[in-house]
Parts: sequence; structure tokens; C-alpha cells
Amino acid sequence: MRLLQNVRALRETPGYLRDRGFLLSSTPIGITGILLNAALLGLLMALLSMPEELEYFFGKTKQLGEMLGLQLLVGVFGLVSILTPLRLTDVFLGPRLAGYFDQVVLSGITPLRFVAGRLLSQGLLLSLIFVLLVPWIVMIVVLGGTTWLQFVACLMLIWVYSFMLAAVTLLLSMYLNELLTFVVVIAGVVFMGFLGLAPIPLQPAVLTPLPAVFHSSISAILEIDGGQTRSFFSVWMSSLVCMISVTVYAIAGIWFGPLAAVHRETSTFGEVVCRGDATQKRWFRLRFHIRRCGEMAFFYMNRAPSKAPLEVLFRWGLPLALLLVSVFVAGVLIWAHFRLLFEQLDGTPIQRDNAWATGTKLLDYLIGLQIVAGISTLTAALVFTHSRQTAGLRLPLLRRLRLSPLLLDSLCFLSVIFAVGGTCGICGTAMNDYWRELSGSPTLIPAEIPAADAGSGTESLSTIPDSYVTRYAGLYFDELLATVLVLHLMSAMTLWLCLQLAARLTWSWGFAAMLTVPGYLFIVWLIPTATAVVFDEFSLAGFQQLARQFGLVSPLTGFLIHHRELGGIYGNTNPLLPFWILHSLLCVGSLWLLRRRERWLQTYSVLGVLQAGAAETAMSEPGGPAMNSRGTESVADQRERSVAEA
Amino acid sequence: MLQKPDLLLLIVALLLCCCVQSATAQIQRVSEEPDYPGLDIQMTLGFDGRFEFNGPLPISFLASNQSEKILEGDLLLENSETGEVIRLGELVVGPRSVKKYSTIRQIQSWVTAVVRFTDGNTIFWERQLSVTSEGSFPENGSYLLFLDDGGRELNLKNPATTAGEASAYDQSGVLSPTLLQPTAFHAEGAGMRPVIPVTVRSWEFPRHHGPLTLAQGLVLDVDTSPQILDEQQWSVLGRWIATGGIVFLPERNAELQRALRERLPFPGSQLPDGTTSVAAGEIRMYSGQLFDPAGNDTAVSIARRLSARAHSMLYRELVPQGINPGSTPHSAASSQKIFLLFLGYMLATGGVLLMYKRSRQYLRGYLAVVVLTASVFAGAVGVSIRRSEGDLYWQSISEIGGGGLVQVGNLRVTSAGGSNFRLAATGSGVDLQISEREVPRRSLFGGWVRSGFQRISSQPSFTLPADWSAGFPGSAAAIEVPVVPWNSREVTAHAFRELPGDFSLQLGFRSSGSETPNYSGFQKDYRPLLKGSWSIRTSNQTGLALNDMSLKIRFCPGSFSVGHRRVYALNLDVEKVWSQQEWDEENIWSDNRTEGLLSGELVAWVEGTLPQSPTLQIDAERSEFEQYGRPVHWFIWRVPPEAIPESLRQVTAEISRLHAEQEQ
Repeated sequence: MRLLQNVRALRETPGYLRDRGFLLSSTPIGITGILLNAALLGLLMALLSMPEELEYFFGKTKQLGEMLGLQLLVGVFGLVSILTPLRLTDVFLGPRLAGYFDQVVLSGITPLRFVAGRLLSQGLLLSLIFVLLVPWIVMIVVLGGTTWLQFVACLMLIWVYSFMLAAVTLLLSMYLNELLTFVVVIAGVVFMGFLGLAPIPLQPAVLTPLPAVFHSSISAILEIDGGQTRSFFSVWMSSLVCMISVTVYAIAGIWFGPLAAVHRETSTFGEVVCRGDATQKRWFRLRFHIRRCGEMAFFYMNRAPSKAPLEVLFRWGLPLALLLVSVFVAGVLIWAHFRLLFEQLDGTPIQRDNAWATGTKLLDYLIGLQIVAGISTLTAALVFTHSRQTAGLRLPLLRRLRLSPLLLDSLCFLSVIFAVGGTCGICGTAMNDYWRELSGSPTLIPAEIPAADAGSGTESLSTIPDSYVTRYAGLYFDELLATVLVLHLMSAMTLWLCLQLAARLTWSWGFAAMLTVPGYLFIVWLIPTATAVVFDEFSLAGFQQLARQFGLVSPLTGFLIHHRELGGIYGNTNPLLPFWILHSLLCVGSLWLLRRRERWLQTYSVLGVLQAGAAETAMSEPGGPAMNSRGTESVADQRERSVAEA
Repeated sequence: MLQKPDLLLLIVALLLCCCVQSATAQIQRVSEEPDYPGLDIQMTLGFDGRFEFNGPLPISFLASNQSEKILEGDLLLENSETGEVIRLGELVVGPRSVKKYSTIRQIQSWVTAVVRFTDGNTIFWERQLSVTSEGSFPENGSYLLFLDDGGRELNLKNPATTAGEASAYDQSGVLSPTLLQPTAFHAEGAGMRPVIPVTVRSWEFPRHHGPLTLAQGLVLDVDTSPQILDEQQWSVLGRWIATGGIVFLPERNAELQRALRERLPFPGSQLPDGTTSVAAGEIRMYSGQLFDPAGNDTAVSIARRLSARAHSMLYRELVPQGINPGSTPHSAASSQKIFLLFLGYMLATGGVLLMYKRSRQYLRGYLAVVVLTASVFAGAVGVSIRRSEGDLYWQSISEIGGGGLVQVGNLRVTSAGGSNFRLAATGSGVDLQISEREVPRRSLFGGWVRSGFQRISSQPSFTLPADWSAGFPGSAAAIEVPVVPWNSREVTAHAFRELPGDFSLQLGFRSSGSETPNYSGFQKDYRPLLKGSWSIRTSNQTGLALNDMSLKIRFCPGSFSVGHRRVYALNLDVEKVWSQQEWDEENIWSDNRTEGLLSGELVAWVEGTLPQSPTLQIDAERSEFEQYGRPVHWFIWRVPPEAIPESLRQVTAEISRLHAEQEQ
């Protein structure tokens, strides 16, 4: 009942009222009608001009009604994907350009209530589109050939998709400017759309309705290729659950807002004043990205504090849980696949003459573990990094425990590091033990088997050339696993520390990430390895040696050495001293600089941040300054207090 | 004693174990070529492993089950590279029995495959196979099929075989290993094709004449029983003869002759030398023994006869040129209806833009009216399209001869958007097959690009359901043509008709004298030697009106470079006397009828049009496609070698000799 009342209340929000008045006027109706019919007619023209290609894509013959139904769904999907971000990116741009955003902030309206109306009006847009689609639907009904249940189900998915897209657009518009928001949303839609159209049997994350819309075609292609297919209901339910989850997450993200505090530079609403600006020319002082952050920080002071303790769970707990579960599931899947493969050999005696043929397969699984480690640590480094906007914040975890974002980031990242190391280590060790029990050999390829015997493997196992035998002879899998894991984790730690430092230097997390991650990968990973490989041919001994040493700073070189891919340059083992020296220096240096930067921010940037206890005391004392959940004052209260003090 | 919580935990654990076990059990182990005990399956692609990529591929199985169990399952063919799986059909083999099974498939782009007999859980039989033939059916050679279940192979060796390398070049000028194999027959003389013998077992014999159109001759041994083929296979053989095949039967086996003659599309006409001419093909008798310990003269004479025969022209006219029917009226109309309707709807809804001063109620009303009106029109258009028929355009070519004709039609059906898939035709012995020849695809730079090598001397590739036993086509045939809206498919149709009489031609040629060859570039031009006077007289007893007749003569003096042959062409209207007629020189690629012309080969035929289709008709009542345009019906009649004037033969032989000298 209360939920219904809340929904009804949302319909009284200014955003919804304004959208209702706008959408039901001549201009949007006319433009929507033109765009919708133009999109559908354009698709129809494609249908007419490429009938053979469509038949190839569909995998089987379809009737006209079914094809028009598909065309209609795709057309509506495309139109919604374009119109939604176009319509909603101005949610903050409009008030800011018109100059009344400060009044919106001062009104005390919560950010969620402010944007919820725009979100709800998305239903109006969809209703308008569906009304305009009636003649098309009538024609599809008359032509026949459509599975109506699936058609209606796909329309429902598009409805949910439009709300998801709206929520995500609104969420991104809090972090990015309008143009960037539009580009990111469209790029994401295109990427997820192509992913959804891929004829793969298992699509774990389906964030567009396209897998359900093209279910019959994708299934036809999979059946031709002998692959497994899923039922329509299974795909539909996956899409629905995923999209609803993303919508809920986006709405929660809107409710929580960007993690930012008001600093000295942004303490003036609508202006950014940094130290030394008095002597700067005006156009040097134009800092729109910082100004936007400041205004958002002010706006989010209006947020109700009642759900504040969930913030830590939402911003750190949820990503951490997802990452840990993903790492665990990936490890389990790799182990399960390994067992499946080797169980097929059950009954076939593993003779010493073909032992190496299956031993080298463990290296494939090791690469899989490395990929898991790499992706998860990189994701963790990106997720558990926050820009300087969060300096000075203290977030409540428990009743009396308030932690800084940097500390939370550190704890979460270290948890991921340990989880990755533990999962990959356990998985790898289990594989190694299983292999030893199966083959009776502690190494992948027994060192004493001569290369001449390599060709006597059975036909059911892969034929291993002689070079494999000589390359991997005497290689211990557990040692290799431990070495590469350590390299991975050290590299990840270094990257994270560099990212933290870069983020503390900038107002934009995205900018710091775009600078640091590619820079590290390119400068530390790729260039040294490429230098060592390319310049290995140089006959100038000094230059060759220098290139080799330079190559050793890269973790990629370390992986290749331990996988015995660079035996001609470095041999089969190498202590990788340059790597350890460089990365240790980077870690220590980053920590030192980070500490100095934190101190500087506390001194020169952060406004008077109260400690956790003082904030609660102040809140409980009558007449004391009103604090929100982050332990800082709202703008209105700051002004009142300054007037009172004056 | 277990407590309740412990019992629950135990039950859960057991259930989990069951899941693990069942997951493991569902893994289908593919072991190395597993064979069910007592089961033996022989399988052949094409004719003894030889087949043509762009032609219909027969796949034959002979399953022998010596176990006590009924084996029932599906025959599956899986592409090893892409994983595509084709279900060939269902096979049921009873205990202690033998079963034949065959089908025809189109698998143009496959390289390696796995074929298996499985019931879904157990794989009874599995083999890996290469789907690349040893060599395609080269245009320069002829295939002589020997039908025998005893595993014997014909010996066609002759002294000229070792010197056959000169004629072993295929069309592109590459030395063809197929034509060089030791069992091939090479005859001396210009224009003689190498003959490659292939032994075919009865269970490999296809159940449609399409695959047989790749071969040119078939021979049966004197001690072959008529039971070697079933009734349908004999009918297939009869139809293949009418499309251009030659069957060599032993004189001393009357039962074989009777079995074949009873299943010919029409009796044909008897020639003085005992040969029976049936449309484009023949039945010839041979005396002697194929496997004579004293020598292989009989086999060699059969091969020589086949070697001199030109390949069929029946499929050449239509396939390379395709059909250019112009715009399809029904499909164009249906697409225009939809476009106009929704274009108008778009303009009507866009017109709302102009009503910015009107009230919201007015807007709602206007919108409601527009949507309702558009919906009514959309319903009407939908009904109209649903009930509309597709478009059909076709043309045919008939080869007249031997007391009848064989008509091959190339039909192009275009869907107009409705539920129109059925195509029906009538005619004597009518047969419809959907052509699965690779269609030209659009290239990135515009235009149409033909992909793959287009064989045009045989029926285009098609897929024949293995259970095609719903009565051998008699006078009517209907098929379902799967086609997406506004797309087209091609269908090949065959029909036969007996004629009351034959067509004949008297051709006279008088050379104009000793002209000397000119020089065309660095090569000699021998056309001046071919100058002369011609007289042509025809006699038409067929009962058909033959219009626009012209006599076409083609002569290939020889190859001038690898892959390039020059052809001299002469086209003459019949019923006229021609004097001092000049020959034209044509590029080998511009005249598709003579694409397979060998060096020194001379062919002549009469070509013209028929005012109406001689036998094949579209069944308008049962077809969901409507004819448009005026179909063109061609006919050809090949001038038999004995009708070529001796004077012309002498001149062409001289030219071939001169050319050979020049090349040396």
C-alpha cells in the first residue's frame, strides 16, 4: 500500500508532470511517429534488399508475419535505445544551463525524487510508441506466422529494458557530462546487443532483449552447428532478471549518489576556487568537471540519512561479494572442466610413453587461471579506487565505526588479492595432485623420456611434436603455478597503488584510470618485452644485454620465461631481479607519495571534517549543527551557522 | 540411530551424489570408431568415392546386422570443421538382415566429416571421412559406370593409354590426375575424350537420375541379373538415358533388355544398327565379353564409342545464364502496398507537428483517428498479401530425338510475402527438385559475384529426402519450396514426351577450294579453309511447331595456350542455301554450349524455339505461385556424326593436323 502511495507520489513530481505535458504535445508525438515509422520502413527496405542474407542469418525460412514481428521488435529496441539517453541526459544539464540548479538544491528535494519523475515518465514514452505501433501489430496479426506469446513477452522485455536504460542513463549522468553519458550508453547498448546476438548457447548476462527476440534464429543456427539450445522461457527469464537487477542497482546508485564531499575548492556553489586562482587568467580557471562534482556533492547533501549505513555495503560490499563469487565460480568451473577432460581418459591406461601428451594440457588450465587472476585483480583495482573527491569522508560501517574510503578500498582490494591467490592456488594444487596420481609423474613431462619416443602417443591424444618434449621436460606444475601467481599479484598490487595515487591527484576517477592502466600495461608490460624480443637479434652485445635486462622488468616477460617461451633469450629460469626491484620501488614510492598527498588534502582541501564521535554528539545535541550521514553539514545549515557566528 | 537433521543431510548428500553420477553418465563418450557387435556398414559417397562438388551427391549405405537385436537410429553427418549436423534419415535394421539406404545431399563446402549411426545414447557405428573427391568430373573426360556387385573393374587399357597425356588436360589446362589414372582409356584421334571406368554396386546406385547426369555411359555385364536393381532404380536408369546417357547392354541377355525397356519414359526409335535412341540418349548392344581372358576388345570398343560422344548440352543453356525475369509483379505489388501504407501513416502522424496550437484533446482525437484508420488499412493490406500468390517465371529446353523428347525446365519462384510455398507441375514423368546450387552473392563492391566453380553439364545440386517413396512421379508432382518473403528459389523440372516421328536434317557442304590460313596475331587463322557452300534441308515429323531454327556448327582447331581454346562458330538459318559463308571466331567462354569442346572436336546442332511447352505445365490450381511473363521454350536437336558431311570432316581433320604441326 505504501509502495503504491509512493508511486502515486512520484507522479506528482515536477519531472513527471513536466514530461507528461511535453510528451503528450504535438512535437514529440509527431517526431516519435516519424522516427518510429522511418526506422521500421528502413528495416523493411533492408528486408527487401537482402533476402538471401536474411535467410542465411535466420537459419531457416520464416513467414512474412514473423519477419515483420522481428523487424518491429528490433525497430522499437533501436528507437528506445536512441531516444532514452537523448531524452534523459539533460536531467541536470537543463537546470544548470538555465541557472536554477542552485534553487533545486536549496529546495531540499532529494536527488532520487528529483530524477524519479523522469524515470517514471519513461513509461509514457513507451505507451506513446506502443500506440503508434498498433497498425503494424494489426498487420502482423493478419499475416500470421508469429508466436504471439513470445511476441508479447518480447514487448514486455523491451518495456523493462527501457526503464533499465533510463535508470542507467540517469546514473551515469551524475558522473559524466551529457555528451559522454550519451556516448557511453550507446556504446554499451551496441556492445551488449552484439553480444546478445552471438549464437552461443549460454549467455549468462543478457542485458538487452535481443537474445529473446532472436531466440528462434539463434537456436536454428545452434541446431545447425550441433550446439545446445536453451528454451525461450529460460532466455526470457534471464533477460528479465538481469535487466531488473541492473535497474534496481542503478536506482540504488542514484539514491546513494556519487561519493563526494564538498572541499574548499568546491565550497562555493557554481564556482571552483583553487589556491593561486587570484593570479590566474579566467580561462585557466574554467574547471567544468570539478564544478559539476561540487554541485553534485551539494545536491546529495539533501539525501535522507536514514539508509546511510547501507552505503558501505552498496559501494564496497556488493562489488566485493560479486568479485569473490566470480573468482570462486571461475575456479570451480576450471576445475570441473579439468576433471571432465581427464575423466574421459578413465580406463585408458596412462602409459609413460604418452604421459607428456596430456601433461601439457595442464598448461592450458594454468593460462585459464592466469586470465581469471588478471581480470579479477584488474577489476578490483578499478572498482576499489576513488578520486580525491572522497578525501575527508568518513563512512559509517557500524554504530561507532566510521572508515575512510581509502581504508575501505585497501581492505577490499587485499581481500580480492587473497581470494584470487587462494582460489587459484587451491585449484592449481588440486590439478597438480590429480595429475600426479593419474600419471605417476611429478613433472609434466618426465625428464628421462627421450625425444624420439614422442611420436608413440596414441591416436586419441594430441600428437605432441618433439620440441614440446624438450621444452617442458622436468617442469613442475606446482612451482610454475606459484611463480606466475606471485608475479600476477605483485603486478596487481603495483597497479592498484599507482591508480590510487593518480586518483588522489585528479578530480576524475575515469581520467586517472584512463591514464594509469593503459600506461602501466604499455610501459611496464609490453614495451620491455617487445624490446627484449625485437632487439635480441642485434649483434651489438652491449645493446643486446641492455635490452634483455630492460625486458626483465615486465611481468609478461616473467610469464613467458616460466612458460618456457623465451628459452632462447633467457633460458628456462630467471630470478627476475629487475622486475622485483622496479615493482618494489613503485609500491613503496606510491605509498609514500600517497601518504603525503593525503596529508596535503587534509590540510589544504578538506573542509572541517568532524570525527565520527563528534558528528554523533553534534547530531544528538539540540541546537548543534545538523549533520548528514557522511558527517558533514548541509549547505543550508552551513550558511545558517556562518550567519549565526557572524 | 540417526537423528532427523542427520537423516536430512544424508538424503541431501545422496541426492547430490546422484546428480554427479547422472551428469557423468550423460557424457557421450566418442571412442575411436566404435562398432556395435555384429553390425557392419559400408558407405559410399558418389560413385566409388567420386563425386562432383556442385552436383547432387549420392550417399549410400549397406548395413548388415548379424546380431539378435533390432538396431534403430538416425544416420547423422557432421561437418568436422563447423560442427554442422545433417540428419540423413532414420535406419532400422532387423536382426540377421541387410538393409540398403541411400539419399542425395548437397554439401558443397564441406571438407571432412563424421558419419555416425546412433540412437541418441549409443553410437552404433561411426566413421570419419574426407568429403573431397579425388577429382571432380572433368569436362574433358567421360565416365563409364560398370554396374556390378562382384567387385570387378573394367580393364580399358589400350596402346594409346600410355600416350594419353596429351588429352589429359582438364578445362583449365591443368594436367588432370583423374584423366591420367592407369585404368583410363585414351583413344587416338582428335576430339576423343579419355574414358574413366568406375565400378558401381547396386546399393550405390542412386534413386534419382540427377547424380547420374555426371556420367556419360553405363555398361552391364552379360551375366548380370535384372534383380540387381529394383523397380525404382530401373526407372531412374531409363530417365537418365533420356537425358543423354548411353547404356551398353549385352546382346545375349534379353532379360536385362526387357527390364530396361519396360521402364523407359517412351519406347524410343530403333536405328538400323540395332541401337535404340531415346531422346538424348541411347541403348546400345554389344557382343562379346567384357572380361574375356583373350583380351579386352569388347570393353575397349565400348569405351571408344563413348569417347567419341560429346557431352550433353541439356543443362548448359539455362544454368550459366540463369533467369532474368525482370520485375516480379506480385512481390513488387505486396512490397509497394506495405510501403505506401506506412509511408502515409508516417506522414499522417508527422502531420501532428503542425498542430502545435491545438489543444491536447484535439491531438488525442486526431491521433486516435489516424491510428484506427491505419489499422483498418493495415488489416486489409495484410489480408490481401496473405492471400496473394507468389511469382513464377520459367523457361525450358527440350532435346528432341529417338522418338520423343526430354524437357528440362528452370523455374524461378519468388515469394510475395504470403504463405506461398507449394509448387505443382504436370507432365509425363514430371519431376521437381529445388536447386541448391550456390547462388551468386553480392560482393562488397556491388555487383553479383558467382562463388565457386559452376558445373553446367549436369543437373544442379539438390537434396533428395531418403524416404522419397511417395510413388515414383507419374504425371504430376508437387513440392514445398521454402522461401523467405521476396526471396527467390530455383527449381529444376524434368518431363518426357513421346513424339509420333523424328526430326532429321540433310546437310551438304562444298569447300570453296584451297584457301590458305591467315595470321591472327602470332597464331594462324584457319577459317579461310572452312569457307564453302552449304545446303540444309530438314524434315519435321515430330508433330511440334519448330520456330526460329538455326543450325549451329562449332569446331575447335586446338588449344593455343593453357586454358584458352579458340572455337570457330557458324550459325545458319535452315531451309536456305548458303554460299561462301564466313565462320566467326568465338571466345570459349561466350558460347556456353561448347564449353567442353575438345581440340579437334566438331559438333553441330539445330536450335530453335517452341511456341508452347511440349509437355511440362505448371499446375495453376495447386500452385501457390502465378506465372508471369512469357516463358521461352528452347529446343535442340543434335546432328548425329553420320549426318556431318564427309567433305567437312576432311577439312577439319586437315586443320587439326596443321595446327598440331604448328604447335610442335
